[in-house]
Amino acid sequence: MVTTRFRITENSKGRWKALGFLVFLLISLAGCSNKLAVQMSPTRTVLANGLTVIVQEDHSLPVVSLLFSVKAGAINEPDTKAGLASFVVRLLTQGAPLDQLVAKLEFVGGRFLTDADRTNSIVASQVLSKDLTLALDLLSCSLTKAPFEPKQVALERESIILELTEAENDPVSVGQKMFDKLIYGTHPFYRPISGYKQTIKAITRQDLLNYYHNYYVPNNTVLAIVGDIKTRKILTKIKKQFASWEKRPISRPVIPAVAAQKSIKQSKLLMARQQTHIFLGNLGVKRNNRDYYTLLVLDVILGSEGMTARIPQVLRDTLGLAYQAYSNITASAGTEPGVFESYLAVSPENTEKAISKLLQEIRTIQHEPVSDQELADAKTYLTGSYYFDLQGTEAMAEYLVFCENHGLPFNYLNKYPNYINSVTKQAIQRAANKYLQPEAYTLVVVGPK
Amino acid sequence: MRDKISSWLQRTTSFVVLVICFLSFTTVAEGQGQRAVLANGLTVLIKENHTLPIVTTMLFYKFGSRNEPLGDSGRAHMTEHMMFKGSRQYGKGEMDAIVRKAGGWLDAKITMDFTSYSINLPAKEWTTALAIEADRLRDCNFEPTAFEAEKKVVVEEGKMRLDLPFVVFKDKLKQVACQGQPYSNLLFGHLEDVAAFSLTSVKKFYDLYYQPNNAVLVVVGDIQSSKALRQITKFFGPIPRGPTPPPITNKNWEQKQSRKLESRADVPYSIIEITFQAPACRSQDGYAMRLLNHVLTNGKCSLLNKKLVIEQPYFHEVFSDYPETMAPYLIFVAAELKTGVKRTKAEQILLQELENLKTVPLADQEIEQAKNQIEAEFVFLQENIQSQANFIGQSELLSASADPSHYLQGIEAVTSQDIQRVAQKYFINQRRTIGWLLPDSE
Repeated sequence: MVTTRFRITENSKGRWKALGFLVFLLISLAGCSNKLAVQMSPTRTVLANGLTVIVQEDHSLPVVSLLFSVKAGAINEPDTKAGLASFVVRLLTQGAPLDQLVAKLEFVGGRFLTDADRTNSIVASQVLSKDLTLALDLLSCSLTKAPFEPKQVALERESIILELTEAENDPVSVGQKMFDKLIYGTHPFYRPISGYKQTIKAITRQDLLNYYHNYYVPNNTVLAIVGDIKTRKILTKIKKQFASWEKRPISRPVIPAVAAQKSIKQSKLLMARQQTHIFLGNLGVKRNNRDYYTLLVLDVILGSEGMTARIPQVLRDTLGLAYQAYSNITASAGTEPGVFESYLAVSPENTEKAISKLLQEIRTIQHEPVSDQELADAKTYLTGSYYFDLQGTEAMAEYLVFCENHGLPFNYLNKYPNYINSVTKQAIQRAANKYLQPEAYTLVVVGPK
Repeated sequence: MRDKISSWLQRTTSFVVLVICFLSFTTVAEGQGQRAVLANGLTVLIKENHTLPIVTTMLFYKFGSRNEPLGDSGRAHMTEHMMFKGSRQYGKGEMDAIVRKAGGWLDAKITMDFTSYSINLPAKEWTTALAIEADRLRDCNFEPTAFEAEKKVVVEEGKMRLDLPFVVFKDKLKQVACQGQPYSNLLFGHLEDVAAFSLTSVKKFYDLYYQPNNAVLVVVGDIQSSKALRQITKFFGPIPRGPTPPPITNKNWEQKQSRKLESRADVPYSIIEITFQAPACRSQDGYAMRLLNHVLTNGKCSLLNKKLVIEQPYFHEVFSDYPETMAPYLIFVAAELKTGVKRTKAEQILLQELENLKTVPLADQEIEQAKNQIEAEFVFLQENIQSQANFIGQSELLSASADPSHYLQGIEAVTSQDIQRVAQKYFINQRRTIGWLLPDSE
């Protein structure tokens, strides 16, 4: 029996609420064009030690995904220890007794992943549901008992430095780092997540342990668990598993605000390559920005990847200048401001022309309202395609953690079509003028002379 | 436990072959797929998945860069680009716009063996995919202005690849190892050739291979199989069967002696990559080679990683790859050298590990682990309809059976002796090519 993780509701009248997937089938078979929405029914519990646990059952496959998200990332590092957060997560898979647990998980074909971004770190696993206990043992060990053995610290340091050397040869990585540096000034986002060679060399084992002990605490962590499990049973198990993980106060650095630039900033970096890589943009917005949904629609019309948006259409389809051409402002919007960023890779002789065409497109969306057709098409795209991002237990766990971290209700997707559908042409033009800066941009060009 | 999962897989992955006229009366057990062949030769594979109201439609054509004349490739890739530039019912850019407007997106992929087009849509709009694919199957526009503009885009795509040293090295290695064979053809061709392609020559390629009898249509998602097949027949049925595409001029591929390649680039460390001629992947030897590939490098506790990265750290990382191809191709084993490790030592130590496989049988535990991994990967893949459609289509092309249970049974049947046998048979000097990518500075 295939059961579904969603309850389908008829958005406008709510008549079909909570009747399950069959309702959708009945509606669609009847040929109606009702707007359907997704409603999830996870259970959210905060344990005595402060660990937030979100459970969503989904019995369609014998699979479980577990995702722990710790609210700490590169933003929490001091300047002199840049790369600390990602150094820490690399060591959460190593040393006794982790090695034995990793070996057991690998034996059954389970997946295990640790990673850090600018604001969060994750420790995650996906397993067949029969291997759930194994995954929990490994994850709890990783979160609470990582040994940071000196030998492994040394080996990992060597690997990171090697990767940083490798990145020095990559024009896209070099360009992106320079772009962030120019945009963010003194805000910690100016630093690359992976740090710099000199800061990686400066990080001591004690730094790693301090960071781990300060931030990896239950009251700073969210767990989403999705899949072939029973809510009550799994909650009992988790309470037991993490009973000895103690709540502790967390000290956090003060994050400076970041100001929008007032004039053009440019940087040209020479690298002998076939193509020139162009990064152009300005400081963006936070996820809770009131114009976020307007900007989502703007992204689809102006520059989202694919061939329909204006920037790829002009630069790729019409002029044949680039294989890759896009822009985006919403993808990087988080708890801190992201960036509006356009990227083009072109033959060196076309650099000036490509930049000028790109700026022209940004100016046009500021000066002229988008067409009714463009607006309608972007809306149907956004309200139709999001189901694809919700496939599987991993994606679902990510969605739940995202909602929790951004203060969104778990059923926020129900409202999503309405948010999108209420965006107007005027709002897009206003947002384009407010958030895109074709007269005060940051431009980084990486390529040959 | 292994039996339990296997039986679950068996239940939910098999395909039922249907005779079209009885289709509407057939009840299919949940989880099973359906297979049909239309009168014009189009193979159709349908799998219902009602988890979400979405559908993926993939059309696979049985050609890739290996179908092109030796050393004169890139037209297969060029046709793939032109397929988005308009057809009888759709102007340039319209397909993308229509699909987006319907709430979906489209994509394409070309390999050495096949070319696939994928359209992902909300279930209520899914037949838009059929309309587009049926239209461009035989009526792609090849409008001259669009063709000239697209050649420039393809050249930019090629230049992007030229800026990736490992990609360039891999292309060279492939050319050396498969010398004189169709698999040595470059997927993207040589850029100067691409710039000079004539519209006629690309159109000629299109006419040869874009035929219903040379294609496999896969639909996975929230559809009802019998209704879906009726719709598919409505769109694709009227397309006449085309001439049978020319066979591949694949001479008997027998490498007589070992080969070498040395290349330099702006890279921070030396890389050794060894290839051996390998068996066709969906064969008894192929399943054993697939497991062997997993045993070698899949995961922290894999054989080479444990020995040569962790216990005796000669390498930063080790990789291996046994690509799924239609004809016999290669297995690749690669490693990144740590500073101070001599090239001769690295080469000798890596070859010795492969040599050991011929004499020392693998422990049951190692085989069991690789089997568990492959099985779990397969279950995880079922969570996503695009991955499912891709797997089903590839299985049909690689083994003329879309039924994944065949693949799983093939894997399950492999023994330690089988692995030893394939090591002895394929890891031999004259089937070998050793490639080195060295830093410019060295």
